[in-house]
Formats: sequence, C-alpha cells, structure tokens
Amino acid sequence: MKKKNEENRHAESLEESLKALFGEEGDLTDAELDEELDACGIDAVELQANVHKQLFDYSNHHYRTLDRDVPANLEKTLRALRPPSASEKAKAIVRTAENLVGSFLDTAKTKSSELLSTTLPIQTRQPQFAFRNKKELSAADKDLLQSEQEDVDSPDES
Amino acid sequence: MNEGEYRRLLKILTVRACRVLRVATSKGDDWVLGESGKSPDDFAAETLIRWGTNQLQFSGQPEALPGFLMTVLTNAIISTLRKKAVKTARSGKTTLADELTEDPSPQSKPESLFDLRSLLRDGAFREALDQCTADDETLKEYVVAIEAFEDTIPAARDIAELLGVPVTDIYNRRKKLARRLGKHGFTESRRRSQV
Repeated sequence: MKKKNEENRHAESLEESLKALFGEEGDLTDAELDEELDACGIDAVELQANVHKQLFDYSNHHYRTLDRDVPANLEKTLRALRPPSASEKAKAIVRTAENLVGSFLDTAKTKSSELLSTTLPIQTRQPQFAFRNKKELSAADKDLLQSEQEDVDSPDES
Repeated sequence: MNEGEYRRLLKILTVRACRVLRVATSKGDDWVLGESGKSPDDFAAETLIRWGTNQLQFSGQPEALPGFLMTVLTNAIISTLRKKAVKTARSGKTTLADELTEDPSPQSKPESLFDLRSLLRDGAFREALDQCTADDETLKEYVVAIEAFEDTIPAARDIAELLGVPVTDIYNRRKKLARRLGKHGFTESRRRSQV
C-alpha cells in the first residue's frame, strides 16, 4: 500500500511537471493530437491498427479461445478501433472524391461570379439583357432590322 | 463513450506516453525505457486492456476517464523505470520486457524525474530543451518564465501575466514545445538504437 501511494504521488508530481511544460493532453484538438503523434514518428492510422491488433490478440487468447465472453468495455474498445473493411475504405474513397468534385464546382462557381462582378458592366449581369434593350442601334443593326421587316411585309409568294 | 471518443482516448493516452517517455529518455545518459522494449503504443494498449477487462476500478464521471487512465499509464511507466533489468540492459544486455523485475535499490528510483525544478536543472534534459528552443525566442522566454517561479508550478495564466502576453499565446507555446521535444527525443532515440 505504501509503495502504491508513493507511486501515485510520483505520478501526480510528474503529471504536474508535464502539465506545466506542455499543457494538458485532453485540451488538444484531434488535429493537434495527430500533429504531436506525427512529431514523435507515430502515424495515427497505424497506431489505431497496432493497438487494435494487440487488443484483438489479447481477447482471442484470454477469452474467445477459452469460450469465455469478452468483457463489454474491451468489446466496445475493439469495435471502435477496428480498422475499416475494404468496402468501408472504398466508400470513404468515393465520399472523398464526391467532396472534392463538389468543392471544385463550388470554387468554380464562386470564381466565375467574382469574375462577372468585377469585369462586366452592371446591366449585362442581368440574364434578360438582350438586343431589344439596346438604346442606340448601330448601322448594321438597323440594316438587319430593315431587311427582316421587309421580309415580313413582302407578299406571300406561295 | 462513442467510437470517436474511444479513438480520441487512444490518441490522448499515446501522447501522454510519448511525453513521459520523452522526459525519461532526455534525462541522463541512457534511454531508460528504450531497453524495456515497450513503445508508447504498448503502454497505451496495456492501459486499455486493463480498463477493458475490469482490472481498474473507475467510478467517476465518463469525462474524467481519460484523466484517470492517463494517471494509470504514467504509473505504469514509472513502475517500468524502477525495473532492475532496465538498468542492466543499459550495459548492453538484452532482457525481454516480460522478464523485467523490480529493483528495490534506492539509486534506481528516478525521483529526479518527477519534480519540475530538478528536471529543469538536469543537464541532459536542459540540453534537450535548449536544442529545441535554440531558434525560437518565444520558447526560450517561456522556459525562463517557468523557472522564475521558484516555489510553485505555474499555471498558464501566471506565465502569461509574467510575460505580458495573452494566455492563448502560452497554450500555443506549450504545444509547440511539446512537438519539438517529441521530435527531438524520438529522433535521438532512434539514432542511438541504430548505433
């Protein structure tokens, strides 16, 4: 008991020192946790797979092969750390591709509306803006209109 | 806890193991736990197994579980630090982690690891800290500020007040220092293991 108390005291003291130097692990975001693991040469995906394997081997050795029930907490942990199956990986790839295409289209839309808003005069941004709204017709326009009008006015040849 | 929380718990435990091992391996001339054959993920897995198989008595709120398990893991590393074979392995002998036994002799107790003041005064640890902060004045300033508190372990807001910076700035310096020391410690550890 004395030894346990001493160990706990030491652990507390070390925890305080670590907290003062580096802060609390629980305050880190998932991305920050990944970043720190990466700095220590640990890939988060590999870590999960390694630990899952250790837990899986343990549960097989101590429970399943002896036909005993795996304790609930161990079972839950195993389920949570289970590496994704091939179909789940494929689904994740499709999801990522869809997100990429979606984000590409969004960016294209945003960029094109930015370009339209900065380069074209205001009235041309209206979709209904058309030939009929022109205030002053050029000579070519007038000639075209004239010829169209003549076609309409001419008697039917048939 | 949902599955995402379990995965986060694993990361938190492994980061804690890395931090404790990094402090331990920066201290003194030898990589104390390198020879025990246990990596940070081994310690994290062991802790999860002990909890998963009801070997640990936890009756607190679910949000307190990570803190509880981190203390268990820190204790496990401290226990390994006390193993006799960890010391004998330093002289070149190889001992499997499962065969490690407790060393009751007082000189094997790594008490100096636990206290922040003596940790900061330790030559090897200080050298590692200096190398990690060499090109960053804000990190150097942060370490000096911690040392300025002679009798207490300062909270982030105490250090922020002393340096006249926002407390979030201190949080960011801590994270940066942790990442740098992690990189330094484990790079050094690998270099040594290859020699």
